[in-house]
Amino acid sequence: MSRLWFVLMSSMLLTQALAQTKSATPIDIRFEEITSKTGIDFLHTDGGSGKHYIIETICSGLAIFDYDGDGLMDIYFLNGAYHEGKKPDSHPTNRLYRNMGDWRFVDVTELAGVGDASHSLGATVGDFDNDGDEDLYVSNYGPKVFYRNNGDGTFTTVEDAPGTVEDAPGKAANRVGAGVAFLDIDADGDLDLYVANYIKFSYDKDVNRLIFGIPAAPGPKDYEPDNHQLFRNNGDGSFTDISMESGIGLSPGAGMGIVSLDFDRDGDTDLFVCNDSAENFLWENDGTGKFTEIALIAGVAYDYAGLRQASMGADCADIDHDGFLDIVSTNFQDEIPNVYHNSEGKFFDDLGVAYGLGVATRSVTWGVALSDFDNDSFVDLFLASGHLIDTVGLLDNTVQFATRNFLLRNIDGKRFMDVSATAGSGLKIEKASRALGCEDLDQDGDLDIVILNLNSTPDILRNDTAAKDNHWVELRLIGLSCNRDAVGSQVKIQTKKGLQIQEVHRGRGYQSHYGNDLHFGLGNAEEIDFIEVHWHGAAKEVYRNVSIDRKSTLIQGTSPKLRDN
Amino acid sequence: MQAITHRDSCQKLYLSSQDASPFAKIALVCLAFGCGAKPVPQLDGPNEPVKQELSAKAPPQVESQPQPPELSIAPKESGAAGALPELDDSPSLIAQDISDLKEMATKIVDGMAIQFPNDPDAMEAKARYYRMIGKLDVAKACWVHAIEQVPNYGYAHQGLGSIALRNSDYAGAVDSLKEAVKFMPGDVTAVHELSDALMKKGDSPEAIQVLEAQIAIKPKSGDTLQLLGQARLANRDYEGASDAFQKSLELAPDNHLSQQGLGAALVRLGKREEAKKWLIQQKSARSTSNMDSSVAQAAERADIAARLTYAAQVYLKHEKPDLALEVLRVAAANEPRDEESRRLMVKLYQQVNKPNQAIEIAKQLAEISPNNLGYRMTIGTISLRQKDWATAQESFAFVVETMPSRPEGYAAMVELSIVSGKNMEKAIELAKTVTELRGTAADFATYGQTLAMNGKLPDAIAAMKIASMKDPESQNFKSILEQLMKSQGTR
Repeated sequence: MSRLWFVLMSSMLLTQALAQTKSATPIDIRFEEITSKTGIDFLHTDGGSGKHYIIETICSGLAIFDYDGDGLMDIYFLNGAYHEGKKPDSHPTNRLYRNMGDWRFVDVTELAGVGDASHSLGATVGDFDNDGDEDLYVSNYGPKVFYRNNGDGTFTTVEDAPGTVEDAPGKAANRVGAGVAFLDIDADGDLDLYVANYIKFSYDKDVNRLIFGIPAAPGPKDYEPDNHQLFRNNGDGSFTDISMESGIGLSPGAGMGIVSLDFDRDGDTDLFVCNDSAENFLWENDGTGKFTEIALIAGVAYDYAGLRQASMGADCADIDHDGFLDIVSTNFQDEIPNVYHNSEGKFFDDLGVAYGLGVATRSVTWGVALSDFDNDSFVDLFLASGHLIDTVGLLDNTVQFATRNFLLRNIDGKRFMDVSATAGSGLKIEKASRALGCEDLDQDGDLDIVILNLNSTPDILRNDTAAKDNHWVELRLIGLSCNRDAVGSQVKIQTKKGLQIQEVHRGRGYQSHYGNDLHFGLGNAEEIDFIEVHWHGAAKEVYRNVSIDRKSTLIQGTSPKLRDN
Repeated sequence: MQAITHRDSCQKLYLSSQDASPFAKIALVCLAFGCGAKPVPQLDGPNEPVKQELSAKAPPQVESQPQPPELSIAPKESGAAGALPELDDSPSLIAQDISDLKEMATKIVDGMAIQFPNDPDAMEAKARYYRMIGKLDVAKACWVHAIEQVPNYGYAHQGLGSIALRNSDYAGAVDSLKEAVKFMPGDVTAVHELSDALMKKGDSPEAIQVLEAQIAIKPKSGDTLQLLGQARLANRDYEGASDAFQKSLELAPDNHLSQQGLGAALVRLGKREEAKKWLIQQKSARSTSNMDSSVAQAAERADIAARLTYAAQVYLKHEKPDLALEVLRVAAANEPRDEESRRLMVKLYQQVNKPNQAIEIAKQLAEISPNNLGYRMTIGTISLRQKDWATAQESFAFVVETMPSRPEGYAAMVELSIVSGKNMEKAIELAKTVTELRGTAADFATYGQTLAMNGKLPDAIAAMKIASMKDPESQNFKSILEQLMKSQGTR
């Protein structure tokens, strides 16, 4: 009897120990590279002039969005254009690939009418006219392009759209566009537009840099930084340039990636802007669409050592579940990507070192995504990496032009751990990556990744993480009194894993757009206690009994319980 | 581009007045007499000369090394490898472009390292050159080899630490840099890099300890105080950070990193308005544009010249002044404004008894840096030795005219009068001025000497008495005084 009791007890203890081990051992995040199976045949070019124009080295972004409303996320790749000094054999254009499901994509560029042949640099997506479909804005070297979605799988180029007129040839010098974002600056229910510009470049102002006789890329400080633009949506399909009166146009900066966020949770949408080799911007909104630049005071202008950074791309998320959105920005070689930790909306501390991002300092990092790839409830970090020009190995033989990207797992909100080496074939690719985006492309409950590579084919990474015990929920927000995309709305989810917060963005990462729906990993929580949506410029609503492991649509005003602001 | 550290910029000058001839001693002092913006080299400071380093660490067995190959540093086009023309910047020494110069410099540095494979200084010189041109694997191998030869070679540990730091191997960097600091206590570069590595490793408390220890040794370092502020800021000691940044700014008011750090600390202390003032001030101090391409290329040439000068020091250490001179001439020819190589050339041309060449190079230095009166003094001193009284007179007079409140020019003119036997009456007045401006025992002795040479024995005796009083241990002064008194008695 006692022997049987001993065996039973031992067995129970062993089971408990194994269970503890299982819960303590993180699941390997795995991404498999499946591009060739998808039918995506996009080939990026920087223009190939061979002159290392600065606008060639920095391009390009991408956008992932559901252009045809079929519930599947489609992919829009930006492309370069042939430049002065190069006689083109053919004209590269941006390409739109429709997601047919089951990892099949079809090039619908011509059909949709979005094959802009400019040297494209940034893109964002948003329902600017609140008609229920996603419109597309493309930032170029030269006039920008604004595509209105006709709702039938086609787009119409919007004439006289913001940034497409004042920069048109003959009216002003070509501007080097960068990151763009839709946001509702004054909570009037329609989406306004922030357009970052980079530097004042023209072919005759090209700077050739040599380092010890080896061709090197010119930097932003070789040129004059440009001013950024803000356009107010008039609600009738037109926009008004309010760059100066809003304060945005008063400070030039070599802008790149941008992300809007309500960092101080005062209910209006602020904006973080990466400035290359200069102080970043943090535009604080007074709620009426007037902005004050506070990056110096807020602690996001420099890195932890007070040094300027190259600041390529940016994303934000609540990394440590403290209820405030933190910011990550990517940087140049020998600079540590920044983790600007938000101290209750008062100021930020750059904790990139403490969070372990020193692992990425041998590369130039561009695209960035703070997303929960293993659904453990903590956002992980993906960094797209690659150097500026292909001669870099001659300047420093410990760095390469084509490098692998970085996947870092969030360890309980306290630090990131580089798990790239064990993350499957998707993290073994060595290219000069630029933009990236994350969406659940196959609707299997985890986030897949799309990467745009300079002068190369893109990479589609399927998330094969075997996180069966981890749950998730994906939320699509539809605003009624607030803008239809609910941009600027914040969502809190309470589970036994703690409180998570996310915000709806339209424009993030490296001059890109992704994350149309909010994807929350729930860990092993099998139910959601409640979801609180703070609709932008409107009341909070609380939703209960939302099912896990599925996508849900939350429509403003439909929750059983409204909460006061 | 690599930043040149203080040590890299040829501060390990092989200048030791202990082993120089009397005239060379004057020249050395003159070279170090910085009247312009250039700081006087700290020959006894932490940036000890190569010679001193050698004495502290086992010298390599130079004799057992393979026979050095002929230097082959001229560009391909000239076809003239080996011996260099006697003087001046011959076209064959001048590289066509920076790539050509890099090729020449690589040959020189490689050749130097082949000749002295067991000399850690040679490895150090090669490592820093290769690090500069972006071949970090070669640099690392050199430093590893240097440590194999001399395990306590601090510079190599520091070099390995800096590479580890660059490769994000923070633990490795901390280990190497702790070794560097152990073997070079108080070395600013090593300490600063160690604190950086500790911060990046996430150990700001230890970084604070290291920096506080450094400040105990060198309390007047604004940069160290700035780093201390930064470490305390990371450690969330905002009051302590504010204090360190403020102290840094007392020493270096324009340090924009201290201004920024102080602003950041004040924000965290809730003093936002005060913080704004500092943050705005620091921002305006930062440059917003890259240097012009031509300036950048000049900086690269200067970097290469500095590394070549370092290599020349290695040759010099191994008592090969001719080879050192060849290397220095390449450095100088390709960087028309490089002073360090030329300073060493002046010294070496004197050592190999080529005073005309020394004067020519010193004249180049005077053109490059007209405010550095030390170069004028050097010209005068060498001219004096050459009995070129007119050039010496012109040089010393320029110094007196430019800086009438400094004694060196007057003293040199006195020396000139004594050696040449000219203007002895005037020499009395000048020597008296020296006693008024500086008034050392030696100055009074010289004053006495001029008086005696002009037959003014009572005054000479009086002056020598002061000299003896100021330096009662000097038997020489006593002896001269006795002779003077004897002469006076005889009279």
